[in-house]
Amino acid sequence: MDSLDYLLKLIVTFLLGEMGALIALKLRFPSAYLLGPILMVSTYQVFINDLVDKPGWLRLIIQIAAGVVIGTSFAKVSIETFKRLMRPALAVALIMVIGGLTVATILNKITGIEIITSILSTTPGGQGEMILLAEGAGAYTEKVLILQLLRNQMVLLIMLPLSKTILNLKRSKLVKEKNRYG
Amino acid sequence: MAEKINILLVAVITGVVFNYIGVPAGGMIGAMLGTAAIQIRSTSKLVIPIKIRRLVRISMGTFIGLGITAQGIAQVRNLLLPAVISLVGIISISLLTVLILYKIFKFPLAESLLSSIPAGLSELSMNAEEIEADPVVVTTMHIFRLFGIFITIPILIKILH
Repeated sequence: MDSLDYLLKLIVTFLLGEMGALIALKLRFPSAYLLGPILMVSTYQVFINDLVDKPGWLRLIIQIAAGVVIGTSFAKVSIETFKRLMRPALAVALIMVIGGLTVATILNKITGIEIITSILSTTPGGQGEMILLAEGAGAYTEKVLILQLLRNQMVLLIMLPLSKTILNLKRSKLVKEKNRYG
Repeated sequence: MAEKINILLVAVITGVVFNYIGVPAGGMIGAMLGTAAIQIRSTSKLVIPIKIRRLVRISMGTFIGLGITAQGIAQVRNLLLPAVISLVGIISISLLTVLILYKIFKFPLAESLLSSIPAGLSELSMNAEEIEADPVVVTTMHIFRLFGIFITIPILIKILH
């Protein structure tokens, strides 16, 4: 009876998550499929009632599913592209890791946020995956969630228009030079 | 079909092993490495349909949501300064990466810029075509970034623990 009760609660929890995703999608939230369920389930837990405990087997299943999804992204990379871009890609990965750790250390020194939480909050990995890592590593999930979400959205909001402006400036400079010389 | 089932089996086994040996988020890291190692050599690629990807994302969100409590939220205060530090830091790193790709590796400017923005793959791939950058290059660079981070950070966390 207990396990049936648990199973029903688990189904209700996932239905709530699904509903959260649909609402977030309707409201055009960024990262609706991740953020919607987080908001819906946590709001229910905070304001209405605790849902279910998080069993280890469920954590493992979700982690494996997330790992398979990331791993299959390699299907898009051919061996030739892999070889051609290996050096610059490794350089970028290295800079991002070292840079993220540097920012995490600064964050830890200035604000006193515990170092593992700082690392997981500032490292530029996928937001959902970094939160899963935080959850598995016993870090402060709420802080990682908020800081990763802000980082992801703000970087897009600032860097995309900035990139387009830099490109337009470069292209108009090229056109001017072309007109001048030729 | 058999090859695709093999990929999934390997993912499950590597995920369970990594989890067993105590790697943080070992299920995810193990499955990711197992899948990628087979995918890159395999002729039959396993492509996860978008509906399943969304379902995984929803499950991740639901599971993460279960861990958020009133007590936890009450302790999250004054995140403005950490958010500003994190944002300024990440944007500086991105600009440094643009410079390195453009000056040292002689990437076209459009690809240098998009390959250096640490954000969602789908948003960046969509924008790649708009600003005439090669989406394959941009996607590959970001996949490497994610893999680099997902391999090194769990090891570092394990050491710090």
